[in-house]
Amino acid sequence: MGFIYFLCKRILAAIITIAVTITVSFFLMRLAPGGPFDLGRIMPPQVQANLKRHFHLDLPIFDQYLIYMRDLLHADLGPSMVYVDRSVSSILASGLVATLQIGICAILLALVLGIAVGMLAAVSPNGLLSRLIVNLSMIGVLVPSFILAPLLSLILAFQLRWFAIAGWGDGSWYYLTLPVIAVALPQVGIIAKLMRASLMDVLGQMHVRTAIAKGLPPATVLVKHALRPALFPVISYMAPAMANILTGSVVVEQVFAIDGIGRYFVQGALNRDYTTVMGTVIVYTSFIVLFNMLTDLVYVLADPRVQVGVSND
Amino acid sequence: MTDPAALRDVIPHEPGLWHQAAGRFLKRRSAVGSAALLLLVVGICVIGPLLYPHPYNQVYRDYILVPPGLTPRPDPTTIEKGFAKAVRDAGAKVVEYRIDDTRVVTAVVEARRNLDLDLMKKSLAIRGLFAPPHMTAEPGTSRAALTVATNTIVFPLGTDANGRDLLARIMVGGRLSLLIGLTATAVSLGIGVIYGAIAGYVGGRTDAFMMRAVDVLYGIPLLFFVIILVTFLGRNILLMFIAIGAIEWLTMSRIVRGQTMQVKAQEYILSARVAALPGRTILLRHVLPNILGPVVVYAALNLPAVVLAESFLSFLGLGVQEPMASWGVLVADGAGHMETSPWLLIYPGIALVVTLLSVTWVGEALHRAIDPKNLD
Repeated sequence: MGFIYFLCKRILAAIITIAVTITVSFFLMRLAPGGPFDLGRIMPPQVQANLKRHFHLDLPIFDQYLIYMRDLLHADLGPSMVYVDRSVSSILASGLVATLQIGICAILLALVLGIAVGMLAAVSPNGLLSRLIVNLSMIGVLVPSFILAPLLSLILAFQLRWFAIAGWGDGSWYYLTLPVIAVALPQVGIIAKLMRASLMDVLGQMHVRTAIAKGLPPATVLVKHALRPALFPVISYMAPAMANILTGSVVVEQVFAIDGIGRYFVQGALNRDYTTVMGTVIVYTSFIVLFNMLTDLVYVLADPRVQVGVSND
Repeated sequence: MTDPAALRDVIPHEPGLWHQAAGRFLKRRSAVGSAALLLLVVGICVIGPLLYPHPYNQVYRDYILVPPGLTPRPDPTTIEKGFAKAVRDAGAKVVEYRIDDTRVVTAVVEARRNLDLDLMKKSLAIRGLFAPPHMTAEPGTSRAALTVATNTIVFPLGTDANGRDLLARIMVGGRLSLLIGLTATAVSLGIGVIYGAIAGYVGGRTDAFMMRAVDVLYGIPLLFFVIILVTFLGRNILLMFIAIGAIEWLTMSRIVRGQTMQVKAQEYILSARVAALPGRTILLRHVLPNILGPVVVYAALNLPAVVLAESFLSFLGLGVQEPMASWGVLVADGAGHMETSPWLLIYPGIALVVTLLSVTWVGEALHRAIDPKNLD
């Protein structure tokens, strides 16, 4: 009962978040001066008027909003205002392949590597590795993907020729590796640091000391008794991590000239392609909100002490 | 009645909280070191361009993509060719030519007909290569002895694809990046403190509603809004300050709210309320000064995120525009030329990372000094 109530509440909150985002970005864009047909190209006034009518840009803003929302409820994101004869849905579909692949690989890499390194560091808290991680993770956070990506590409792709310099090709590891590393590395540092701190905390707790005292082998204690409670801070960091990875992916797609959602978003913003920008914003927001919900669910399912339906602040 | 002055001598003198914090800060060598590093970077960026010979937007058409180094330019062969050309343009030819280590040219020139010293002077000046010459005509001949110093230029960190000096651009770019960082932090501080303090102090349903709104905003990729805002409302630097500040206040408001709720429960706030002070006065006079510590610490720790947000936007071509420079612009430019000219990527990158590192270190040192009980 409690769980279903919690779920409904979360879903409702997610829908509200997405609706607020759509509304705010819609009005932000339309209220700004200059539309997709006012830039650069000079065209006869009649043509311009016809184009505006075709895309409903001649209507009052609020009517445009209602039309957009009505179409959205029919899962229609409208036609692109810049790419002739392409619907936003088809643009997004072609972009999602690359972006999702980079995003999912990056978050998996960050998780596996971050947890492993964090565990190693926590086992010997004053060792060299441990101190190295604390410092490296800070550098990892501060060396942003827009420096990391060109540097990696310069050394590993341009000098050593191990990986592709740019493009997506067939999407194999030859093209995928560098973008994934560039967005994942800063997150590896953060997750390792989180994991180290929380595991060190857990290792000092009573139940772990009891497990050691009754003579269990250290590896068993670590994996069976300490790991699960130590993972919670990492789980609650998953949603911000995903948001960071998606933001990083915007840069990485630009650096490696990969036609993902992020590139369409930036291009769309530069061209004032209203519908494409709206489409990418909707995809990003839904993805992050969904991921937020998912991590909350994992949290609740993994930790029986979290009381469902009670706000935790 | 005891004399208050006498009491002052009896009660041991305790230094104030901020005084104690300063003491703790200065005692740590790493804290002082990182603060010195930060001051150095800021000093170079702020004062450097005033002392440095190259303006950030000066285009040297002859020096495109010059690699970093302290070699003075142009090299001796170029000087000799330039000199010969200038002399020829003045209707003369070079008879003797010598250049010494300080790049002073000593030469004898001979005119075909009449030696025109003024024309020679102009011809040498027009190329920008030489300082005003010292000439003595040999009487009875059409020859003249000539001593002239060369104008040499040094590009310590090389030049970019437009022939602009990189060091000058890094320093000026640093000014802008740091300025945006500070302004945006101030904006986020303002919004976050006011919002959080009101939510924490008023409490109840207002607090619940205000914090729920923050939760909703947390779930939205706000940087995308900034992109929409700056591209659609025009590339206004001021707008960028505000937009970045406006997305970075969420965590600040949570911290301030928590601190305010703690402070609110203390006796001295209760007595202020009993004394019927208005809520605004209590908030400004009694609550805010007591939560300043964590606020300062968080603002310092958040500064790198703000600077990074600016660089991120500029990197994508959505922020600061050429010919203005910010570190994001320079890194983006460097990424475009990295195959042939890696220094264009490496030096701005180093500048950015060193600055962010020193800011973070200072922030952590402040954390230790001001707020030692909340260390994790």
